[in-house]
Amino acid sequence: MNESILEAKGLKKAFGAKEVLKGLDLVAARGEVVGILGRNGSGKTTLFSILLDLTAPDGGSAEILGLRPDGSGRLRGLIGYVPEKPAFHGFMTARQVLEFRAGFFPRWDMAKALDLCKKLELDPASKVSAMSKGNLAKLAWIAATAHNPELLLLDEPTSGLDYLVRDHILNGLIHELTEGGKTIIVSNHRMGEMGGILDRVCVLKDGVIAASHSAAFLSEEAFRAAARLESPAALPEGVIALSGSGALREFAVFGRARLEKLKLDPAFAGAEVSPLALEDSFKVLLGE
Amino acid sequence: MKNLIRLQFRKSLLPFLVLAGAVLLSVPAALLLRPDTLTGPEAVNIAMLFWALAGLPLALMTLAGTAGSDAASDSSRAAEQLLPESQYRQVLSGLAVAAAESALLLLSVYAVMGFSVPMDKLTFVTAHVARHYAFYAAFLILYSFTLSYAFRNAVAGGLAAAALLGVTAVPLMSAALFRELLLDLIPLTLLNSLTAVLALGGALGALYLLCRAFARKEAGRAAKVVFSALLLALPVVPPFIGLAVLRGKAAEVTWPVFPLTIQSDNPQDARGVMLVQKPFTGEAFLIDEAGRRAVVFPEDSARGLPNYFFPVPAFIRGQTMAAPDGTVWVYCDRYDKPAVLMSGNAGTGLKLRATLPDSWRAHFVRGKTPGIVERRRDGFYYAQLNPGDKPLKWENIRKISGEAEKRWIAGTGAEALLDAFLRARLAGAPGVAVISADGKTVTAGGGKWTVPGALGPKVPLIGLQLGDGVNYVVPAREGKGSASYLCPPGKAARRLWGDYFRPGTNLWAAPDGTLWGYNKRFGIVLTARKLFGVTKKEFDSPQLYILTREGKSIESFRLDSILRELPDVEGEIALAREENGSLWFTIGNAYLVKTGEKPNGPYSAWKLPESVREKYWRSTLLATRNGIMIAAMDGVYFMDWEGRSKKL
Repeated sequence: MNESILEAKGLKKAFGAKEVLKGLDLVAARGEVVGILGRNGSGKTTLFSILLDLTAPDGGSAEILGLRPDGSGRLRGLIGYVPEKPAFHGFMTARQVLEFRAGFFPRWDMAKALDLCKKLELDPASKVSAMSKGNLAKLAWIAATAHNPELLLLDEPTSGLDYLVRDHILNGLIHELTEGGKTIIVSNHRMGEMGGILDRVCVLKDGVIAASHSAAFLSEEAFRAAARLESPAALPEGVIALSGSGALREFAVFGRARLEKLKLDPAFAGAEVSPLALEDSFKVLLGE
Repeated sequence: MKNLIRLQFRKSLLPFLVLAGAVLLSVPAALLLRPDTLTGPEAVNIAMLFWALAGLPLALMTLAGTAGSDAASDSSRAAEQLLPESQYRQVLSGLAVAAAESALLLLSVYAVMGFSVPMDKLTFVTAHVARHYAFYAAFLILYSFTLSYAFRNAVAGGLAAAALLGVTAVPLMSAALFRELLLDLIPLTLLNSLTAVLALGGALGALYLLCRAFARKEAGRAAKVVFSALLLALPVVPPFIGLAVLRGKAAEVTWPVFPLTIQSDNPQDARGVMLVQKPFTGEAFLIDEAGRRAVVFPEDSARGLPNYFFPVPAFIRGQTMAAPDGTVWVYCDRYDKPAVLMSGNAGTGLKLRATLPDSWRAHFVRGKTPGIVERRRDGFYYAQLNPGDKPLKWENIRKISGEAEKRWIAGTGAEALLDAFLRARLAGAPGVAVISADGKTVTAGGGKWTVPGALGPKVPLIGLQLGDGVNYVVPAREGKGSASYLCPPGKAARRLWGDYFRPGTNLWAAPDGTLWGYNKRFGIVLTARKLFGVTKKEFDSPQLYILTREGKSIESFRLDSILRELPDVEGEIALAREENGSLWFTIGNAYLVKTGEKPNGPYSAWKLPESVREKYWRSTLLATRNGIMIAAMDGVYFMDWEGRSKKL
């Protein structure tokens, strides 16, 4: 689990005057599932693009599966990528897409690809130009996994999928992948639905990984504290105001030790404490 | 890469098939719609020429332009950039397929034409394009693709590529036109090669940089785009620099004004003056050995932009004649100005004696009273050339004597009448002999000679001034062959050489009066071919026959060993001078050679300043009393008889 297959150090990328990445560091170990949490335009897609060797960083370095992004495209042969908006040649059928891609990936498993088509209820004879958004997403999933990549980059992977397919992918496909020791980096606006499979969540903010928490920490040591404050009180570190008006206020507390410390504060005496839902934890982290 | 190429071919299949179908359908269409004046193959060839010169360039722009814009499109990038191939290779695959499809179209047109281009039916421009088709096609494909990739628009990219091609091609065509004029002023092959390398390499380099800037979004995108633009514009630079250099050099080129100089009746008076033109500035001037100049036509610098790219040489025609009193008469005709008749000399200047607006051409007639015969729109005119400032009296000479007309009955045109007039007038002039009808008697002034039977037309013979006076050389029959007889003053005719020699045909007088000629088997043309066309070891140089002013004959003189030793020998051989047993020859426009009377003896050779190659002029040299005047590439030179040269 400790073997690192992705290591990015100080990645920088700017488009014109806009600096998107400002020295981002990211490490992922083999078999780890890392969620990248970030708001729109925070640089998630740019990060993926650099990791895929599609975009050259302006600074910093990255090493993925022992290779550095050098523009040769070799890295993409080792990575499975599900883009937010999958695109294929409209004149091809699903089978032709898969056959065409098979020519580029030595480890391509056509039987597996067709089996996935069956599981995801995608007709291989269907033409890309006639495919719905959901079917395009299914084809992207198949294309990303049929060559048995060691690393998967998933950019909004459930976007456009109906509930059944999403469930199939989340509870079936991704579990299979993680059990097979694959490393997954995923960004998802609905990260909550990924909760069960994430090992770690990294918050991408202001061009850097602003925070990194293990999934276990977020599910076991994130609390909601509701307290009546008679007067404004300074919030200790790790305590974040959630909502409330007047004297009744709600706070998110990350870490059991901090919770215990908070309870000792007279201002918070009598606070009602309950576990913070994962979805709410992500919201807090994003807003922090 | 193979899979990428298959993909690109599949993507561009439809437009390619449409274009290929149009090419193939134009064959039956040409056959069906051909006018009666054309045969089937001619109609098909014309249809294919249309394709080659107009249709295919558009087709190439379309195929490459759409491939380039497609490679840059978001949809293609989204579908293809995730493939494990470098983005540059992905873009190159589109270019490769566009190039391959273009090549197939070209090949199909070429095949329908029977793998042969009718170059003789093409204009200079279209023939130039045909000769460099591969380069221009490659340029158009590469640039259409690259610029369409940059603009993400096939139309804009294609038009920009066509514009760049035009800007590159025009100066190249101009340089080729100079070469067509046989002016090797710049290394055109090097220029063409350099342009091709820069164009092909530059476009690929620019595409690589654009790919890094646009697809891979590397840092320094603006710099990469600017550098790409410079790379794309780079091939335009050598042709324009080449053209500027070419024009600078062309402005210095001098050609003699044809047909050179008629000296006075006394060869020893050979004036050291040459009428010279600068064809690309329109200037004409008389220049003497000391470098003094008298302008006939001044430089005309305002010849317009079209002339900058497609220069039209002035092609000044004219003639000079030294009159017995030392006056030099100059007739000069530039295509865009009225012809002029002037007299004077290079030192003190020329005086305009007549402006001849309708002049087509003119000939000086030498003799005690020199004259000029001028052909105008409405006929022929004659005027005596009197010294002083008096206006010339022109006499319409359309009608000539019946005798002269009969003599030239074979020729019925205007030129024949002119020629007849000149010869009739010469027949009555001193130094001209007349041959009797039976060809056995030659008479001139008080002299009369008997020869075995003169050969050829019984036209007046021009006398040749030797040390003992005016002599006549008459070719005559000898058994089944021929011989040449010399008719000296006060003596009987004698057999000179056992071969046919006729003044003006294969016998000439050097400026110092020495007679020299080629034996008939090696005429002028053959000589030139011999020297041009075979290796040095194989050639058989002409036999030269020489008669000195003192009457000494040198027969079957050859320059073989000298010609073999000198590098870059080509062109005609001419005797320039004889003095005390030494002979001076000019070899082409390249060498002045001094030798003794023995063919394989010691010799000296001096390289002459480089002149334009012989196409319009047999020689750019003029031998005078003291040396040779040379109208060279960069001005006029004078070289004395010991090889010392100076630029005048």
